[in-house]
Amino acid sequence: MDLGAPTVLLVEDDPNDQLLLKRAFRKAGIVATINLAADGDAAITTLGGPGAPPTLVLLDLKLPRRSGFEVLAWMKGHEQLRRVPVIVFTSSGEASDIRRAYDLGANSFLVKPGKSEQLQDLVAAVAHYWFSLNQSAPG
Amino acid sequence: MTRRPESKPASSDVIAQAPAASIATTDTRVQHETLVDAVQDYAIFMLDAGGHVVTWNPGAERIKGWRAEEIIGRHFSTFYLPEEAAAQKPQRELEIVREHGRYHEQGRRLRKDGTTFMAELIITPVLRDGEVKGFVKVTRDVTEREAANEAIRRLTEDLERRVEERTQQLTQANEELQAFAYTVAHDLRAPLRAMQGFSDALREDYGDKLDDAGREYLSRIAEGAERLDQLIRDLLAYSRLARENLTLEPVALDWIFRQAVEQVKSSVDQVTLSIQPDLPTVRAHAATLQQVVVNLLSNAVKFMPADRRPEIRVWSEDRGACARVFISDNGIGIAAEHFSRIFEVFQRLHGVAEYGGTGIGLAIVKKGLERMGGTVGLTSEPGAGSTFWFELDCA
Repeated sequence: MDLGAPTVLLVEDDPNDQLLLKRAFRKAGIVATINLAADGDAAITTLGGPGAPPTLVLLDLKLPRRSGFEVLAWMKGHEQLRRVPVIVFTSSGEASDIRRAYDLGANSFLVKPGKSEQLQDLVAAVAHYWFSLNQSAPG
Repeated sequence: MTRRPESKPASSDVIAQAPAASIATTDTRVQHETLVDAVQDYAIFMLDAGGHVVTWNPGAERIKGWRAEEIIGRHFSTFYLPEEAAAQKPQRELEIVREHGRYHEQGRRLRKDGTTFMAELIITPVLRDGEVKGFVKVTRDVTEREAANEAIRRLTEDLERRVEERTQQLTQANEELQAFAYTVAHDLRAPLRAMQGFSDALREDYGDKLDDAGREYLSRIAEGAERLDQLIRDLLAYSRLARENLTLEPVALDWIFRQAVEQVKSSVDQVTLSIQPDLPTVRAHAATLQQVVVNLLSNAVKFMPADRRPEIRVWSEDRGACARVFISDNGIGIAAEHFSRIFEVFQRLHGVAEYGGTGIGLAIVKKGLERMGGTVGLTSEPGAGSTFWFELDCA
């Protein structure tokens, strides 16, 4: 593990999407530690456990057990985790989902692209913005 | 003739008319009695100052059932339901007439045979020298009217109930449709993303290990997945348009066209595009209007002979309360007999290999404009180009 490298918690149940996203990070040349939570409960266990919070959470909405919305609401109500940037990363841009995500405190809302190139571009843009430009809240 | 009891000459002085008529001559009295006799639909009769029946017309006989000789001389409380008569209601009505000059009511009254009917009645005083000498009572049987009103009320209630039921069913169907669309949006696209993503990955990472045929198969998988993804997105957009409420607000067409051109930019690189500056501001839903314009622009670019450089012009005309916006191209054009067909869902005039697409683009254009209170149309010359137009209210 590269100390000082940003950490991403990817909350994603679809193994294909997990694989494609990890590949996109690698292809885009982003150095980051990607931890995985395959459902809402696992995300809360990981986030609530010991250790530093991740630099960024990439959160799918449709998840087994607790949904992405529930994870988001839980995080934004949590003393230590509420300032961790959460990017909702989901299949579709349904207006109701987008509104609800922002209402619950999401920091960004991105729709998963299908094409490999687009996914790499998206990952590069996310990394550039959230790992380089953005000032995260001091711990 | 209105029957009067010969034995009660005093009553014959009473004239059945409003106070002004109390000075009537004998001639006019006779005319008046003839008139009252002719009335069949109203019971018109007179009471003396104490409330006893003095005259009785054929309408009264028809409605209430008593013949003149049976009823004249009897007290008019005979016509009231026993409990009302016992409660002195008839006497109170006459008091009201004495005090206010008139009594008007709709209520149940008795017939001779004991049945009741719904009566609308007016009692007025007969005055002589400022003194109440008697009363005129005019009664109409409104049972049928009331029954009709009641029937209307029942029908209205029934209709309201059915509308409510139907609304509930539709609301439920709509909710189910939304849940369905939501599932399609999320779950149906995930495997497609995998097909697209992994065929891309295969091409990128292992493309050099495949021969030309292998790479072509791969690109066909990717294209198929992409076409299906586009179809799902278009269908979702169309169904969303049909079911979601659109809030209309002033939208600058300049801005919409700038955004739309940005969105179709990749396909308009080789296009001569001239857009009239200072396009008007219209009443619209921004995202929907943008989708409409994107679809029209991308069609203008798409349906182009391979050897022709696309030229697209956009301009607007002031049509009073609304603006008509034109988008013209120099493409393949459309025969007039297909004009209405092209706005229907899934209608295509060309094979996918010739000109790609899902057959939903113009259906979205039409539905979107309809939902914003607008219209769409076109003129076209096959081989020379099409001009699509849409109209929206000016903001």
